[in-house]
Amino acid sequence: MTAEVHIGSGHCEEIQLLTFTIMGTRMGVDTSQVSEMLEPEQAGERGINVHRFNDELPFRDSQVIYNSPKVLLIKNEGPAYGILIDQPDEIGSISLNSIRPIPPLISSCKGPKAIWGAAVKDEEIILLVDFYRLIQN
Amino acid sequence: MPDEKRTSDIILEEVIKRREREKIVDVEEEKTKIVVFSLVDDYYGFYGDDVKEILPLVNIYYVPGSPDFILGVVNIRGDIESVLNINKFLGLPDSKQTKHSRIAVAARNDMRSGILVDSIVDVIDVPVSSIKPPLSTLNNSIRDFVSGEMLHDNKNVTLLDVEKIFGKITV
Repeated sequence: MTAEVHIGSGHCEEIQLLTFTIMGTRMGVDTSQVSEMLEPEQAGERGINVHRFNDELPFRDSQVIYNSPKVLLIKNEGPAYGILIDQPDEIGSISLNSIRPIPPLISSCKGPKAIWGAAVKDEEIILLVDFYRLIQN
Repeated sequence: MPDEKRTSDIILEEVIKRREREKIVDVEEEKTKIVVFSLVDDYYGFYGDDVKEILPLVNIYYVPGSPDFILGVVNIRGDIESVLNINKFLGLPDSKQTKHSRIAVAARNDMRSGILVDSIVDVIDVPVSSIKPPLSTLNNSIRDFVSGEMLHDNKNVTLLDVEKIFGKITV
């Protein structure tokens, strides 16, 4: 899985985003942070340390149900680290012009630092998650 | 009767005095705009200067990891705004979202956010003198965010201070 950010004249300004949905909340991760997408069983067989997304970033509902779970392997040089996500739906380009910062009321309170922005696509909001910050939580 | 005041002079003097008095009254009647809204069974208000726009209820996107008093974010003409659950913030019972629910977009200093209210009751100009200090009997969880009290349609309106609310959240 490869991703590029082209910024500057002569290039389109966009990131490749893998989007997924957990409990009705649509989120996206820059594919440059992801090396592989695995079935949970495959991750188990390979002995990969997998963390549920909602263990790193809690949801209001205490009971978080994963209907179509997948493991996203984070691209890093350390030990393999997987994040369990739900309902991956597409990899698509997101223009930098369609990305907005998280509103100050959320970013300045003791809140979700792993969510670094939001993209508006077809009038819908996609929350942008930084997996490196997520595992630092 | 050269030294005697004419009736017309007396009347004119009285007219001038009355107009002066009216001017004084006008100065005293400084007004301010208040956005009156409802939460649960009570009326609350924001100063009009703090409210930038009032929107109908739109889809609110939940943000995982955010505090309980943040409902989520909304798309307002391509910009993203947070939406505050003021009930939760003030320790009030939850409200049901209805067709009367509105998002009041409030801003103060560099902070800006939508605030979900049950309904907008009125937007009125009131004399500043009609705003009284907060009642000492106010609930502890609200008192810190109240700047005054007033009456509207014979109902008490608790005026909330947007700056104090945002200040508490961002501490």
